[in-house]
Amino acid sequence: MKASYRIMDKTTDQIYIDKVLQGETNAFAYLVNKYKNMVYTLAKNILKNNEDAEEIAQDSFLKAFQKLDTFKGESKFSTWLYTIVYRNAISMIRKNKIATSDIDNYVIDNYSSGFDFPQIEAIKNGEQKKYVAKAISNLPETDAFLISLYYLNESTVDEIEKITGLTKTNIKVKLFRLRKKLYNELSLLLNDELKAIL
Amino acid sequence: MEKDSKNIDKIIQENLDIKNPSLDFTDKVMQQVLTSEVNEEKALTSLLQKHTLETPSLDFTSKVMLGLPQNSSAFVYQPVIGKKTWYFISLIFILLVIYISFNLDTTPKQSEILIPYLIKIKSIFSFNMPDILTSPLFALSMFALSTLLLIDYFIRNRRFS
Repeated sequence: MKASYRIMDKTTDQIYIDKVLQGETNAFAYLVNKYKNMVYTLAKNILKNNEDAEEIAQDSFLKAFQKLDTFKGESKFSTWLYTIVYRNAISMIRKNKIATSDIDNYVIDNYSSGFDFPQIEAIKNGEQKKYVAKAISNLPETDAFLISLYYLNESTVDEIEKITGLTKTNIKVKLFRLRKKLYNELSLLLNDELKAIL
Repeated sequence: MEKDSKNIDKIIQENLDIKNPSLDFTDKVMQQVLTSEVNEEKALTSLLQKHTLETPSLDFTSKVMLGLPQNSSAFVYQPVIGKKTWYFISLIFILLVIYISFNLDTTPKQSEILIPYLIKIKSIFSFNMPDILTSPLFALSMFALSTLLLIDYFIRNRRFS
C-alpha cells in the first residue's frame, strides 16, 4: 500500500516537473506547496534558526527550479530536493562558521543534552511539541537532519545515503545511537505515546 | 572442620542441577525484545511525526514563486512588424525625403497642379465630429486614461522582468 502510494506520488511529481520543463512555471507552485514544510524543517534542524531556515528553504527551491532539467527521475524528487537543502544548509553553516567541529565525522556521544525542561510538566501542560522540539534542537545539526529524514519523511537508508553522502554503515550506527538517545530523553512522553498506540 | 566444610560443598554441588527452561525459551525472550523494540519505534515515530514538522511563513510559496526567473521560452513575443518590413518602410521614407528635398524649389505652377488632388483627399477625411469628442474635457479624459494604461503596462513589465 505504502509502496504503491510512493509510486503514484513519484508519478504525480513527474507530471508537474514535466509541465515546468515545458515552460509552465506556475506548475512549480505544486511542488513548493507539497514539500515546503519538510524542506523548512530539514533546514531548521541544521541551522537552528527560523530566518536562516526560511532563506535556505527558499534558495533550495530556487536552485531546484534552475537545475530541474538535470533531474533524471532516477530517484524520488524529494530525495533530490533534500540533497540540495542539505548541501545548502551545510555550506551556510560553514560560511557563517557556526560549526565548530567536523560535521561529517561527528561522534554522537560527545554532546550533552542540557535538558532542564521536566517531562512530567510537559505532559501535564500539553507542551509535548515544545519538549520534543527541544530534544531535536539539542541534537547536532546533521543528526537532527537524519532523524527528520528517517522518522518524518520515512526515508530509507539508501535515500539518506544519497542525500547526505554518508555511508550506509555510518547512517545505521548514527540512527541506532540517536534512537537510544531519544528514548532516554523522551522516555516519559514515549510511555504516554505507547499507551495511546497499544 | 575444614574437611567437613569441603564435604558439604561437594554434597551441595552434586545435588544442584541446572534446570532447563522450555525449549522455546530463547524464542520467547527474543520475541518480547523485538516486540518491545517495534513498539518503542512506533511510539517514537508517532511522537516525532506529531510534533516536529515545522511550517514556514504563510507567504512562503508566493515568495518562492516571485523569486523564480520566468522561463524565456514561454515568454517569447514575436513583433507584429518584422525587421525586413521595417527596413523596407525606412527605405521608402528615406527615398521620399530625398525626392522632396530635391524638388523643394518647385515652381508655383507645379504646386497648383497638386491642389485639386489635396482638396479631394481632404474631402475624404473631413467629416463632422460630435461636440463631445471635440471638448477639452474629453481630450483630458483620454489623456488621463492613456497615462494610466501606460503606467499599468510599465508596472506589469517590471514585475515580470
